[in-house]
Amino acid sequence: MVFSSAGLFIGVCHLCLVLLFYGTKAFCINSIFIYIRNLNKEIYIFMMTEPKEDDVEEQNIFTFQDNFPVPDPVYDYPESLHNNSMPLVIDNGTFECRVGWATDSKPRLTFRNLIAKQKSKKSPESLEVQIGNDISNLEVIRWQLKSQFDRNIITQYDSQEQIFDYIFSHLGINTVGSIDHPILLTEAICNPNYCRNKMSELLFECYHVPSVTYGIDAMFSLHKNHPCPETANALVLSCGYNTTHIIPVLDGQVQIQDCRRISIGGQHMESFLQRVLQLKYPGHFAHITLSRAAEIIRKHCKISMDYGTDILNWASEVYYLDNVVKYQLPYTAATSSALVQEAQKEKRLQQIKRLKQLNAKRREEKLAEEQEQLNELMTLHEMYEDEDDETLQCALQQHGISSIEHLQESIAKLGASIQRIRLKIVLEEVESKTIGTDLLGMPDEMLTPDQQEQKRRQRLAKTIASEMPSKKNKPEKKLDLGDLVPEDPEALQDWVKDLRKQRQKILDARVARKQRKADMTKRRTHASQQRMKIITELARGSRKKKEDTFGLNDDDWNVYKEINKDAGDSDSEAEQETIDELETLLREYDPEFKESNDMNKLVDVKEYYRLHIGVEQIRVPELLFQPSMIGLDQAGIAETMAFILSKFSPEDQDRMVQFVFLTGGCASLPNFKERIESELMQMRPFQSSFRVFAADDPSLDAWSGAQQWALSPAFEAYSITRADYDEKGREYLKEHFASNQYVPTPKQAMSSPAKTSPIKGLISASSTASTAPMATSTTTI
Amino acid sequence: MKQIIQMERSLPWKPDHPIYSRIDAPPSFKPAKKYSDLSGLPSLYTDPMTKLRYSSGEEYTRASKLPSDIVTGLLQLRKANNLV
Repeated sequence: MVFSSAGLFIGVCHLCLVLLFYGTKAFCINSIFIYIRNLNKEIYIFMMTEPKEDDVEEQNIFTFQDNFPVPDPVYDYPESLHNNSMPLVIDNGTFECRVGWATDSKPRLTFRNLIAKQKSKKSPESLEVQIGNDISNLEVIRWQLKSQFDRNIITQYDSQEQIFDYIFSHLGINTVGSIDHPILLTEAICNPNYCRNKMSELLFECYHVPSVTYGIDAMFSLHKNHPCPETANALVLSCGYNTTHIIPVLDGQVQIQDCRRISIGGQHMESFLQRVLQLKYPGHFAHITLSRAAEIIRKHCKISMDYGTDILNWASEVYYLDNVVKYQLPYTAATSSALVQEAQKEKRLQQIKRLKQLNAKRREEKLAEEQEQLNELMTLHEMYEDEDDETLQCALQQHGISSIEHLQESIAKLGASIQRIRLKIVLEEVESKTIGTDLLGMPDEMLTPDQQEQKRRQRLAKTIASEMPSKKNKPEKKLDLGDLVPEDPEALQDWVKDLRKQRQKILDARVARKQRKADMTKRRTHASQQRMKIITELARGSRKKKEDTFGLNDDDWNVYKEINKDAGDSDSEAEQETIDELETLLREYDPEFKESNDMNKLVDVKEYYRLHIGVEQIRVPELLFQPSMIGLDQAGIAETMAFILSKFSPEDQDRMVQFVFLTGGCASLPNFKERIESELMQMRPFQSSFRVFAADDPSLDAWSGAQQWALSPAFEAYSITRADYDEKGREYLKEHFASNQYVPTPKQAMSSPAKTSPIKGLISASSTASTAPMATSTTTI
Repeated sequence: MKQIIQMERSLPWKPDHPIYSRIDAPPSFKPAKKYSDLSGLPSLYTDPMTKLRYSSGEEYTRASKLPSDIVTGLLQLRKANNLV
């Protein structure tokens, strides 16, 4: 009861206050509501003496999994596959390569299309090549990763050859000299003839495959997901790793001249997120890797249904706290500053102790030595007293002493030195033994005999210390602020206030100086103009030379301080000392100050190693719709869709939007389908209908579709055989529902030196008549 | 890659032939929306010194304190650093 009423009272007071303070800000009901929610939290915290904020925080914290790929197994090459021309389906994507036999239900191999070359440890001459999943940690060797792709077409055919080697060896194919299987390979939309030329050359000349078939991955995916692909009308949106394609399909035919490609994909999102986070947390630059960025995108990014309003939500703190995702980077607690300081202190103390011990040992040795010498000299002296002249002379000569006076002198010297060393040792012992317990002030009766002994030593040490010429106790320059701590609480309050004021003053001065410095670097500010004025003044003064009184007054020199660009930074060290002193005092006597400082320290350790993924959750996928966010001057997905649709007649448009189909890796982002629906709603005429479908498995369906089609009887008719290759050219392509359109390279291609043939005129004359593929390339073989 | 595209482009294609360079998406017809470089929130202002976009006064103070490498990094992100 008491609690609740107190809480209510506080709540009401608080509400009034907050309304007063934020009166200007809280202009809509929504925000007032938020403030009330905020207040509730505060009251809650107020009433529970220990705020349980930690629990709230903990639930959104994740750690990076950093999954490492498992190397692909090497499969057997079963007898059943020998000589039965089982097609091999390869979805050669820019992100992953997926390979399997046409009879497999899932691709056997799925690996990143990447190659890493590095010098092997055993023989530095030869290069060790790692491919796909054999690369255990991508981040370590990121700088030497290679891909056969440039954007979405293949340009590095030596890398492609290594990839093929990897594929065929991991499938266990062990036939000699040739790969005896038809190949079904995906290629980019509008793959340049040159690229196909090279690919065919590689497959036929290097691997001696019997036949090859090319197709567009997105179309295979459509084939898998459309009920009747032969007559499909669709608008295919294929969102890949490097590029996004929008492909209109009418009556099962790709309308290839109306396709459009946006150069944005998963890769851009990854690098964007990586860069954003690196700039947000410059301290963790090296920890934010591309793989980790990809992990964040995979797990937490979602496409916003309405970016404009969703992004504004993030401006509110309550929404932020509720939705933020935190990633805890691995850290070691020892790196926290306080602990490090502690450890360093400990180390230093130990060092001091060791040095002291060493010193003491040395001193003792010296003492023993000198004692011995003294003893010897004493015996000599005794001899002198005994008046045994001859022996004395001998002994004196042995010790290198000329006369009796000299002997007495050295005895006195040694005696004094021994005395000094003894005193030092005693002092040291006392210091090490009785640190803290000062027995001097205690009356003798209360002490045990042992303690009395100690007390005696202490007293001795004290008198010695006061007598000894103290080199150490140089008058240290110290602020005697600490000595004046007032007893009475009110005075203390004032005193603390004063301290705070002093500190603030120094800080203000520092800020002002910084400001002035910043101003000076800019032109046309008052400060810089003032500076120039002074400089010209100085220059003029020196030229006149009538009577140089500069420097007579000490204040004159301040001019230089003023025109110096980093004005007065030299004395900031002393200033820092003062501030440190003030802060230690404040920490001791001012509870508020201590609290605010301690809070900072608590946050530092754990929180410092945490990445907050807030607005990035929707900002990153939004790149697909607004490529302008990374400075790409292409239209986003939605606008390009509208652009493509506008090229068709209204009837065709209507037919296409009945099957808007989403495929490709990025299509698995949450809300992708819904966002496309809402975009279509905006661009389609009023009350028209449309339907959006997403692939069952956006990244795998291209392979599955290709695999299904490879089993169909039609497949064989569309494959390019060795005979076709020899006869019709390297770039030849048989068109089918999922293929690119084959347009032979126009005549001028022959002007390039590689393709020049002695019978150029003849062939060009014969080929002008027909659009049939030219046989020119065969002449170069 | 550039060579391939250049070579392909130099050939006398017929207007309706699909070539790689022809299917690039058109530039956007809508003006690009402006977002704060620091927070990603819609931004109305640009800092004249650093050319960073910011959405509130508090962000401006943060923006003006940023070291120059971060500033160029943020500008690089939206390819805005080579305009001047």
